[in-house]
Amino acid sequence: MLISLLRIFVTALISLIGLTVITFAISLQSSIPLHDYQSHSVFVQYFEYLGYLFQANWGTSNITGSDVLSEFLKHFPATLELLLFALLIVFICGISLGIVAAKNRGTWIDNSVMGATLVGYSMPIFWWGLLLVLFFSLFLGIFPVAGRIDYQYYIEPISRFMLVDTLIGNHSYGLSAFFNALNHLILPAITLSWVPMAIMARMTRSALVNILKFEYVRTARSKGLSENRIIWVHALRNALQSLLTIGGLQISILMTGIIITEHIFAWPGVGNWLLRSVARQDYPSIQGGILALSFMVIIFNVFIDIISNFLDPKKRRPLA
Amino acid sequence: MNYAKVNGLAHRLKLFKAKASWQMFRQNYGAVFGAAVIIIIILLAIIGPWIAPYDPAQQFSNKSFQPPVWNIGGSFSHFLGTDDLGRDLFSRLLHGARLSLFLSAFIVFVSAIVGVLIGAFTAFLPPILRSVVMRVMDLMLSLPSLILAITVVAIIGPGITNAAYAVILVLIPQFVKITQSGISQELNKEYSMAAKLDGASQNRLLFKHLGPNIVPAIIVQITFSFSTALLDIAALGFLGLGAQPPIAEWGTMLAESRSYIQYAPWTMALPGLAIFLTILSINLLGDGLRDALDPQINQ
Repeated sequence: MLISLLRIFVTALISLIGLTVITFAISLQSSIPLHDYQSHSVFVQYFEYLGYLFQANWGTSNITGSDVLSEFLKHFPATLELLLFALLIVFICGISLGIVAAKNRGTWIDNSVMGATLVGYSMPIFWWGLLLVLFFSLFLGIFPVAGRIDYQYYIEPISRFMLVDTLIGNHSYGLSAFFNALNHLILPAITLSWVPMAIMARMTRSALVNILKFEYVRTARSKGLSENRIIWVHALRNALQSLLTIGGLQISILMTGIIITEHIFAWPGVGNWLLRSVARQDYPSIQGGILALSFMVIIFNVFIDIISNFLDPKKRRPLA
Repeated sequence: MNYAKVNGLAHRLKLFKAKASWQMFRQNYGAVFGAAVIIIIILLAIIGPWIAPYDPAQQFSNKSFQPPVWNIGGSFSHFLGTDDLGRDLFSRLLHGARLSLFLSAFIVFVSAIVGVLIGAFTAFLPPILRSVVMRVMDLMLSLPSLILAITVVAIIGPGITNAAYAVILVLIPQFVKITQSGISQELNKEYSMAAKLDGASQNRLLFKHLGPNIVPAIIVQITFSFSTALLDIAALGFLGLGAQPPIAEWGTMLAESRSYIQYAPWTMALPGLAIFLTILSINLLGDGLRDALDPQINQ
């Protein structure tokens, strides 16, 4: 147990070192040095760069002149809000679709769910997002085209999570602001969660179908347990570890997707900020954005690794 | 049993396996459909310049936003319609197919060769060096592909060639991992031990004995990498970091159409449909190939 935990941490550490080397290389592209380095040697400068990063000094933007880290933190809640909402859809809808397909395996329900997910994971989300906008926003007029909230609402940024701010903030709009914000969240979240949801459904189905072949499932059936209880209590419990690992892989897809989604829906998050910085050749901001986004992916993967380590009965021994 | 007889049996077994793979593939309707569509698209890409009615950059300024032929106001002179500058969409789509397919094929070709070479080389390195290389690959894999591509584009600048370099870099680690783990696994098996004891040279061992057992996995990876390459190039084009206008590239065309989706939805629908159909059929083909070539099913 201890050894496998140690391995996870060492891997993460090497990843972080590699990541900072990459972002340092980006920061070198900037015509104005990111920090006041004492040394002329690039090698020593890298360590100085690491020191500055730890002091929360991520440099200042070439274009806006504002601090990169605070700029990132300003945009981050919007991204996190969308990401968590999408992750919720991925897990709830993905796993339930997979369960439905596995329960009815071999029937037309299974075939149509699998067909739909196959179409789902081949869908380029930048097209899917535009199609959703065309149909739901422009044709039906149900959901707004872009943004986080309508312009008539002025919401004081407190937590910078729009859903939270509209609830706890001191304003006179009542719940209408909250529902307006929620309405703005739905299309981006569907766009973002589409591909991971399809993969999740397929993986849940194949994991469950494999598990349902085991002897202990036959034992449970012969004991007279209902199919629902077998799936929810016995099979899903054993599928959990592989589902978690697959869920962890989805975060990488979600991170790719969030940049595209924010671009389509003019969502004021990190992805849009990063793209704007690339267009303006604002290297300090690019460096900061890539560092922060990739750091999150690495840390998230570490979490998933640790949890699946604990879930693996072969490794679950007393910490000694 | 004499040597020739054993050899003959092995040959027949090989034929049997190939036949079994083909049988499996043929019965997978999705895979056959995917293969058919992809062949049609490749043919269209190859003969594109000869069947395209107009030059992809030619502007008919009095005919902008002409709808496709099945819509009111459409005509056969531009049967898939025109875009905001009055350029013929069908010609642009054909040009885009040529660009996307050939570029993706080139990208996958380069990254497969580089990846397989690095992987094969890594498999024979001492364990410590090997784990260093593999950790670097893990880092590249753990970063979302688009973020890695954006990083590369941020360093060397936007444009279609730079986007291609970025995607090549993104695709290499998968090939390294598959080749390395394949060789490491096969090296520990009894047959390769037997070949070694028989005095087989390193090259003979690698190409004659291990190769056939690793190649199927690499072929399947090539198919999936192809769809990743196509999607990433289109995504970079859509984000304005890949092909720059006026190049007719599917992702760039989609980005240009964004402002007019209410007024001229076909300018958005058609390039997207082209990307979607191509990727769907490659994925179907890849699934079919994986099932057909999977050695466990073949046994």
